[in-house]
Amino acid sequence: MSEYAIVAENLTYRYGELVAVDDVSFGVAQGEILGFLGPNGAGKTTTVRMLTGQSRPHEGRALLLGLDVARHTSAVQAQIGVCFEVANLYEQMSAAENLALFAQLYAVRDLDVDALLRRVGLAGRERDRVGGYSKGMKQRLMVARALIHQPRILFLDEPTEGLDPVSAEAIRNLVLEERERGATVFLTTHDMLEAERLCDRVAFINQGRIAALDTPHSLKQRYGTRLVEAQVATETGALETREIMLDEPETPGALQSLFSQEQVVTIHSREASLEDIFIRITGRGLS
Amino acid sequence: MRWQAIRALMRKDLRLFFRNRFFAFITVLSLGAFIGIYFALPPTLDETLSMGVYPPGATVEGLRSLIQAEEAEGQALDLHIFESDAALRQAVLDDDVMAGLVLPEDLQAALMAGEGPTVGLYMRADAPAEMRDMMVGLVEGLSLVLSGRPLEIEVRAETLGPDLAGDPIPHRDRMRPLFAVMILMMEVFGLSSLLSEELVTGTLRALVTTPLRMGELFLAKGLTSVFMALSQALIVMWALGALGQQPLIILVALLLGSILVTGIGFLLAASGRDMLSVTGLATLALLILSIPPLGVLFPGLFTAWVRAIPSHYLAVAIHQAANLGAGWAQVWQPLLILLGFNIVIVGAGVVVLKRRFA
Repeated sequence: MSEYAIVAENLTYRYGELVAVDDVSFGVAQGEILGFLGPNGAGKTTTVRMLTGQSRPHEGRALLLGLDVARHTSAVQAQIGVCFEVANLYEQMSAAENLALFAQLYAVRDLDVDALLRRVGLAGRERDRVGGYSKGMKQRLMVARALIHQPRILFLDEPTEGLDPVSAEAIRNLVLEERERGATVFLTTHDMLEAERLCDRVAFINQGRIAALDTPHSLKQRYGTRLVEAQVATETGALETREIMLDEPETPGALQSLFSQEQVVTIHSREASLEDIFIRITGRGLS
Repeated sequence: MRWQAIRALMRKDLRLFFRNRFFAFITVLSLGAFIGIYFALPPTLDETLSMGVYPPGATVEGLRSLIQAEEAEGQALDLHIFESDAALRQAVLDDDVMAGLVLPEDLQAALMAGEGPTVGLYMRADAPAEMRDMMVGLVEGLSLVLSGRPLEIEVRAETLGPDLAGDPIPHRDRMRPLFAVMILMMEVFGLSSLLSEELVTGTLRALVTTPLRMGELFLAKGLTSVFMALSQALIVMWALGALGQQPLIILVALLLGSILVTGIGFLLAASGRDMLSVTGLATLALLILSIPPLGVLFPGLFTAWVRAIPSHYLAVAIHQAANLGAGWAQVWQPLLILLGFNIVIVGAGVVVLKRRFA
């Protein structure tokens, strides 16, 4: 078996004339969390659909746990859990009924609904209809649904988008717990801080192509710039910002003149964020 | 097939069906629509009667002048000429015309010679009683026109289809096919709304990322729909006493009707953009499918175009089996045609639903 849990080989998908995913190739190691980052319309969701067997690639192939997704769809889907960006639960049914239904679809016979709901912070609400849940509760229930059968690969599409900090943190902790269990996580997100905190590697996708794929640290080293940002007071008393790039030959002189010639009010160093790097690589922002 | 998964989906759909207040609203809406249909129909019986005659020739012209005279007195008669006795007979059986007259080729000569020729009269068993009197009166009038002497023609009447032996069908029994189609169509609202909701809310997408296959998903939806429609229709038909004569034929007809509405439900769910548009389309389908049973209630109300509506064959089979006691020999043809419609409609429904989902 391949050491990669997920392998994308030259994946291509078109909507008519529009090439949504263009010759995308990458691999995700077992037990790794890969962040898949890109703006709306970049091809993230289409890629996830091909990887999860919802759409067949027009060219290339996707291998999950060594199986071709298009040819062994059901076998692959038995090993994966998918959490969607938009809540797609049966709102007329309770949390317990939702989970019991999917347990039967995954042929899980001994599901402990209470334990699973306790894990996502929904203990005591199992009999309530999902229609009455908050957005954060629904999102947590969707994560619980994706975990019913202890999948070997977890696909999470914007799992913390628009959630309150408590719910978002609960979901991030669950992602880390799943990695501890040995699951591979494919995380689609807009949140660069989340990606930086959770992901072993991140892939930037733009206009259907992978623009960069590496660890956050390596990307910062390769593409990022370090600088010092200082606020200085002018003769009129107004504040102005000065930025001095680090790692440049003229950096020592610039710093010296800053302190000798200006009235420094605040000063701190700043590292490039993943968003800065994304903009630098692709020429466009994430939102 | 993973029957455990299919059973789980069926239980889920039944649970959602009974928890959705929307369907209660639809039920009331449908009742309102049918009351509307009732009041939209003419309060008195349309007196235009259709009849056929064979062979074409000079005597037909005599009939035409008689009909024009009848029309002048307020009785409208629609005359159709047939090229063969067999074609006329089939037209009466198919309800294209309410009665048929077979005139001898030498009618006028026989009348003039005072031979007292015999005229054949085909009547459907369920034709109104006044139709027979009118036909006899028409033949008597024809004798007067052609020979100047009345009552010289013998009328030999033949009843086509099951003989009711003088036992006319009450109007409420004629409504049985209408009730059957109405009840079955209620399921279209349920199925198409549930399916549309699954498409719109994305729960269908959640289902297809599990090991569930698309075929299993459609089978579960279809079986739930057929079960719901068939069980409700059987209860209603039992309550209306329609299962007394030919229960197996009624069961088969309702089963085919349930499959038909399931296919229509698939088509509507795939065609509508949201729940509201699906409801609108389902209401339209309900109105269209209700037209043929009205033809059973009011014979002669519609012409041949009604055969393009699949519920015509369901209505005919139920009417013939429940009201006329017809056996398989009489109903196999409409049931076979209904089966053909089912194959086309269910197949198209699955294809468009798959495309919509993709």
